[in-house]
Amino acid sequence: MLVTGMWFAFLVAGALIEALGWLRPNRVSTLHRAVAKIEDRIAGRAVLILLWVFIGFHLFVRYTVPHS
Amino acid sequence: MKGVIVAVGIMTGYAWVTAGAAPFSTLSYLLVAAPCLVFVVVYVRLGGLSVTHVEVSEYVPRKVREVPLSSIAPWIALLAAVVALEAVGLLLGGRSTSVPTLSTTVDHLLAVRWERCLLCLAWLTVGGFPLLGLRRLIRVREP
Repeated sequence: MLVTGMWFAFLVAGALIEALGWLRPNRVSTLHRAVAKIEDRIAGRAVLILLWVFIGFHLFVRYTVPHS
Repeated sequence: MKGVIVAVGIMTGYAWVTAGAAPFSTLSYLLVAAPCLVFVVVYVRLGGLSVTHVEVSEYVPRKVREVPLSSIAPWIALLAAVVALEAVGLLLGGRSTSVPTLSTTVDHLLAVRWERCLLCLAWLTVGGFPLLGLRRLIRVREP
């Protein structure tokens, strides 16, 4: 339960960083700009595509409905 | 505007069908593989992976030129924390209830079909953005 809470805390942290990126664009990048930095290189673009494909298969092919 | 509504409708329908496929079935593999294949083919055709493609090489540096590496440090720190926690979860077998991996946690969000449909729609939308961006750039550059 504690670690599940940590995952949600990470999600909230991401939202806060994004908000900071909007409020102080000179100091903190938004997610969009951070991803753009990765897209700077062709290898970065390829990694992002592979990540997107992996997420698709991982979430929508291999999902298991948890037993409560 | 009409095109956007049609596209959203098609994507929502596709996401609903994908969300209804049984996990690990041939159908689920095909339903996920199809948009992946379409995305990669269109992305490559638009020059997304071409080193010499003028649209990409001009577009990307302009966007990142004023982004200092230090400004993405919070995202790197967050990513490192996610990877560390995921690694601990995987070391404990991946199905630990005390230290669940991200996948195990997300599985709870995938229990209901409409939730899977929403996530699938989000996934398809994220995949569509780079294609739209590249297409827009090519249109802008065309005389």
